[in-house]
Amino acid sequence: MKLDKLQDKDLPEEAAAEEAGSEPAEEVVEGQLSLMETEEAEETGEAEGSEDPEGSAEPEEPEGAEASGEGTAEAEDAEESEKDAEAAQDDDGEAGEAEEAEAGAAAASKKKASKAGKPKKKALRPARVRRDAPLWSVIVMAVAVIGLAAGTFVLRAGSGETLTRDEVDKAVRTAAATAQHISSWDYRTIESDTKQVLGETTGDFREAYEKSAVKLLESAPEQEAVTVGLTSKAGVESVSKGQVKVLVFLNQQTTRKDADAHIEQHRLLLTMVEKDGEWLVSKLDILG
Amino acid sequence: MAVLAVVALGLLGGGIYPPVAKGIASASAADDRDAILQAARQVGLNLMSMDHKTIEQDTQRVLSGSTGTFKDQYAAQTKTFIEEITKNQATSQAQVLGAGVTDYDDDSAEVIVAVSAVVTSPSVPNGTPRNMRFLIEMSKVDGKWLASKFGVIQ
Repeated sequence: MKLDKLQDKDLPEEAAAEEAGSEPAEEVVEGQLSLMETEEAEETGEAEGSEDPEGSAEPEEPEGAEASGEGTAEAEDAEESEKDAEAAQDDDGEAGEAEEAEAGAAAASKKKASKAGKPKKKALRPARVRRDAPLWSVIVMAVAVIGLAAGTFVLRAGSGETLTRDEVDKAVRTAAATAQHISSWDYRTIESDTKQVLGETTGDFREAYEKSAVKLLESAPEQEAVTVGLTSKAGVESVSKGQVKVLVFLNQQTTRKDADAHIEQHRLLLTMVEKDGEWLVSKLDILG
Repeated sequence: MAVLAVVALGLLGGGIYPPVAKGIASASAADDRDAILQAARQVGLNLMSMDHKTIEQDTQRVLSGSTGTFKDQYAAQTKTFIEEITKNQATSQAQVLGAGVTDYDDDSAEVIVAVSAVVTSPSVPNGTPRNMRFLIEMSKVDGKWLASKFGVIQ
């Protein structure tokens, strides 16, 4: 429902921001955001793909083969993209990517740290409430509470599902809409277009976007560029604590002063994180 | 080379789905979603993984992962499909780039799958990867998730 509305209003006027148009040269506009993310995305495809065909090569048990291969492939993939990000820095002096990779790692370890801390706090609080009770009862209660908290924590961690259906739904709808904002901009409204995206993104992606937006502010008016991104479909790829990965199929139409309009079909993987009750895009991979 | 892909998709894809956004759905229990995703990814992969030397098994694998309308359509075209691939000595290598559940309940689901495939043959030794966007409807039959409808998102 919501999406339909978004699509309708998202025509040229509303068209939002995007992109990392580095060189104000040729294909800048349409590639913009894409340019920034494409390399990484290609790696994702290759690493994972190299694993998948093995699954298909064994007709006897295709399902298991693919499933077991995947975790490893993705893990390797993450390492690779970090390495590659560093390599990119060395090669062509583009500082952005490597910094992003590091920032991501730092953010990840912070998250872990805060996760580990939570159960403890919960366990301690109830004990304090009963300050004037006999010591033994406090201890018993504390132990019981700790046990309970620990049990709950383990269960939740085990299931991997820490978000309600409604929360995940909201994350997907937000991803579908934000993907449109990221891929839509109009040279006449480029400032507000990019500003809107900055308000809907965070972390690595926001940083990268911010840099590219600076260039886009120059190149879009020069080219009189208008792009419109429309989400066709969006679905949940994975859910973990406070994070939802969403696959988005999106078509992006680009119009420029001296070029024919054309449409690109995208496959985007958006990592959504929850901050103060809002879902924000923290990472965007272009697949394929 | 495109022949194979086109044949495959043309035969299967009863429906070309227009880019309409609807039914963005839900995640519920992670286990269900994971089972659905795994099955749908495998369907996407199997559909585009074909080798003229193993084409019988390749098509059989697709059939064993499908049911209903999709299975009927695929089965009806299998013979032509095998002849075509054998004649061209074609091979299609595929990889799944991503997949997401757009909607689901206890016994049915809709999944989008991004697949990249390279088709080669003696006349086209260096194929170009083609990126495809599938929409697959899954149905749970005897505890197993099978593809019941298939389409390509344009």
